[in-house]
Amino acid sequence: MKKEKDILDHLSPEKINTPDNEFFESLSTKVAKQNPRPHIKTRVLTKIISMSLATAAVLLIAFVLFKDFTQPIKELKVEQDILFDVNDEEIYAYVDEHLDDFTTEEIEESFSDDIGSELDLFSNISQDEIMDYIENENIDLDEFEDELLIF
Amino acid sequence: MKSDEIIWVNQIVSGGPDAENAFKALTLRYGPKLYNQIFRIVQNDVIAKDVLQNVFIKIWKNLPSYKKESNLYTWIYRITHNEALSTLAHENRRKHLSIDSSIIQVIPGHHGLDAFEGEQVYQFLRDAIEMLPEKQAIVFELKYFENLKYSEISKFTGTSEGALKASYHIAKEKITNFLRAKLNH
Repeated sequence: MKKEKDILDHLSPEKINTPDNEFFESLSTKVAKQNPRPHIKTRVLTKIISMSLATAAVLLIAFVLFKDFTQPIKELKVEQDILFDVNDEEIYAYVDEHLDDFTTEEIEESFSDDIGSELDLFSNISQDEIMDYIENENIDLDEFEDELLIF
Repeated sequence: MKSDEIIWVNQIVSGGPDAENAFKALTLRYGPKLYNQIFRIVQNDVIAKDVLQNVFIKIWKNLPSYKKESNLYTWIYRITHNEALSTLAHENRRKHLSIDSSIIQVIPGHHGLDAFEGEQVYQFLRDAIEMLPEKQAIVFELKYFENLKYSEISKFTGTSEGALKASYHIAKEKITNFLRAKLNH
């Protein structure tokens, strides 16, 4: 029995006039020339340069920020310069007058090791004078148990 | 992917003096098939050549992002298909599209087909192909229109001849059923 023809068997594809090889060769040349692609070594070098510039920028920003954090040291130095003109007698008189306004820690903190070595608050006071002072002021030594370093 | 294609892709992606020669080899291998694929959609030589140029520009620029796990021809076919359909839609909106030549000829004798013009039937056929999955559409186009042997199609797609025969058979069945429904409507 003759097999019934498929619908597609009643359709015949026509030949298309495909361009020749010369067309495709010139097309590829045209595309490549109009869209140059740098060699990968050049691209890697460009990347390295970009990253170096970015790193340099980051370091510069970090340096500027770090510089700001060192500001307090400058201010302390300015304060030290101000005190340089003040003589020891004036400092003794001020401390003596305002002794009750400060704790021992505050006094110690205010003076650096450099100045502290020049300014010895207790070198002119004898032990007897200290004992007399404690007795006259009725100071209870038990209150200062942890802070008594001179006895 | 074929071994020479792997070399071409790497040379094109790397750039440098070998890139242009590799791209030329790729263009010569696939260009004719891609032109025919585009012409079957736009049916105009000037527009087909414009589309083809756009396709190869996209291939040249996007090859670095091509994932080598998928078949190269399938990747290129997809770019071509999308570019051709996009251009066709644009040209149809402008209503400037003139058809150079017909793609199929109707052989008299089928009572359903005889009632329609050749261009109408071809539009039905195009609609049927558009509804196929991509791999079936590729096989159908290369077998039915290009009349390639299964061994040749296998080199293009990287699929076994047995799988290609099965795909073509299923594609033909779907298209036949679609055309019957259209012709009997």
